[in-house]
Amino acid sequence: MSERQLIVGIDLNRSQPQICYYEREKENTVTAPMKVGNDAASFREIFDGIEELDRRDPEGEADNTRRSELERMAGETMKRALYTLGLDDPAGQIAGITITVPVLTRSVVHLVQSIYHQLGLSGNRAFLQDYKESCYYHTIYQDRDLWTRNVGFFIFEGQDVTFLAMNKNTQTRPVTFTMQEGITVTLKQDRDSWDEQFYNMINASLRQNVFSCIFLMGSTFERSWAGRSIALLCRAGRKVFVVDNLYARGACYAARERVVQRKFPDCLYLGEDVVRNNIGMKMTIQGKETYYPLITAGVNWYEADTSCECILIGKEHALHFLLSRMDESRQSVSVMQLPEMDERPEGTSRLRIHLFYESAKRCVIEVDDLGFGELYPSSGKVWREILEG
Amino acid sequence: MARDSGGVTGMSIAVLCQIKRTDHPFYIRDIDLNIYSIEELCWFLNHNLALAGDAFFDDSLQGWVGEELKDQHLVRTMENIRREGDRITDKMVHAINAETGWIYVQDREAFEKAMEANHHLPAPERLRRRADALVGYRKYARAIEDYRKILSLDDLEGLGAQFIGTVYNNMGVTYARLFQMDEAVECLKKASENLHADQTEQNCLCAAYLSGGEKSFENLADELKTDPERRNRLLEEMKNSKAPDPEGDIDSLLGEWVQDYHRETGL
Repeated sequence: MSERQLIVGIDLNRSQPQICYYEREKENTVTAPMKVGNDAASFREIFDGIEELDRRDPEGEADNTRRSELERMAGETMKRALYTLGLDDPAGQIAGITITVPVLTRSVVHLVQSIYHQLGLSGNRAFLQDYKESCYYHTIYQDRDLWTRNVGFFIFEGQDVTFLAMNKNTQTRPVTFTMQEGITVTLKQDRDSWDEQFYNMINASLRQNVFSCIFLMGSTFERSWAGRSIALLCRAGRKVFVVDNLYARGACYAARERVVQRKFPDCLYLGEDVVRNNIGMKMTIQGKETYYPLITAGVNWYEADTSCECILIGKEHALHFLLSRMDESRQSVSVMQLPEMDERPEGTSRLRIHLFYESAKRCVIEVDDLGFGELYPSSGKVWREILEG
Repeated sequence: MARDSGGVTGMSIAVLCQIKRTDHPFYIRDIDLNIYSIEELCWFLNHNLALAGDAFFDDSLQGWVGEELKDQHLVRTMENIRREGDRITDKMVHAINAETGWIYVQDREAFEKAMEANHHLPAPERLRRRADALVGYRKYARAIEDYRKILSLDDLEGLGAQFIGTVYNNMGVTYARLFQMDEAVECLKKASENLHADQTEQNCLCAAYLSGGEKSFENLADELKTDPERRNRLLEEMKNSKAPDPEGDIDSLLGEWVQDYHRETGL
């Protein structure tokens, strides 16, 4: 494989991690289970360990040694799994990568970021998303006719079946997509009753809504037991597909969309991890008062991390942030006071403003007093505020 | 965090810093100061115009702007100004202010007038302002060097008694800050002769007292023909003034004084 030609999607889960890679030169997509040597790669111990730590220490303030150890193990396993596939220099061979996980938590975000760090992959070509977002990317990379309306997913995990609906809103520009989790049904032991149970579940899930396409995932589903159900799914010309490795493929498509070519600039996915607020400030730039965007709504919370420096001029020791919802034009102002800020001559207070998210609805703002060089050294003060919502 | 939906009167303005602070500073030798950003440079120049002659804007500053600030636009402007060679200081200060969006200038018209007035200052007056600015940064030895330069100029008589007296007074006070009381007395005597001001005479007598005690004070008061009532009052004040009572470790205080001395004299 030649230099930085690979686009990679990885479905990172406990026991059956999958990889999907796309070679740009050959335009060839390959999906395979991840292996370390001849054995299937397993992240079970790592995910179990992280969950255990999260139960004991939800704020993530203690147990840093164990956490670091788990992150190191994950990085090592990933390196070896990639090596097995011939990727001995991920930083040199991968042009873009997305890892997808079932659910994003702060710990999982740190875990994946640590893996990327260990692989030498930086933020502008290494991404992270949950399964729902992978479903979205997988869908939009199919023929457009398949997603003219809503799209449904029936996900079989053992005897549990979960319904997921991808809803499309064409009233907005760009067109927005959301994922809505529906009912989960546990199929009874009696296999003969599965078709009826699934038939009822389809009826309850699709109701009167218009779905242009349905994807079925998971090894439990078989045509042999699902005759009535399939007929119902295919009613009214709906397209129905049974797919494997959807999450890894979706992750790979996401990396392509982000790194290689923005094929769908008119589409925007609004997942649960998406930041819904625009945050900015009125700043003076080259003598003119201008709206300066800090966080733009539509990015995932774990990718929203920005900082800038400013000189504060005036007697009021406060910063004014302008907030607006992504679907509203009205702005509100949040005032962050900077108590006990040093009194200095006008224009000699330089501040660093750092914004990052702890979850999609919890933005942290940190402001550092940088002082003014040797003329007015920094007090070392740091102010911290949380912006909820 | 407080929320509201409208503007607030009297709120501060945040000015975006578009150019990063540098890892390596620009060193202003005259006052032993390191500068790390375009804003610091701009603020320094606007407040210390007297310290910024044409020579300030040399290759080393231009190199720092290019290599550390990475501001190629300003480098090109500086190159042009230096090539033209006309009113270098004015144009450089103007260019640096423009680069920061004039954040440190509220009244452009007043600023331009001040720059114009500065440009037309006679050389000795400019040198005096420079020396006074150095005193402000406690660079006493360098300030004295500049005061001496002024007093060695050929057309000193043409500058007027007021100007010469002020130079001697400021030099005398600077000597006093270095605890060189004999030199301080000599300068302040000359200042008093030129200015005929009570404050100068008072400075002179105080320096004499600190230099040689009551006897020196009395001798100088005779020489200056100080009013007897004033002379007695001043002497009483000097006698009653207490030496500072250092709290804590005397060795560390002396250490601080030594450091101050090095900083102030540049030795």
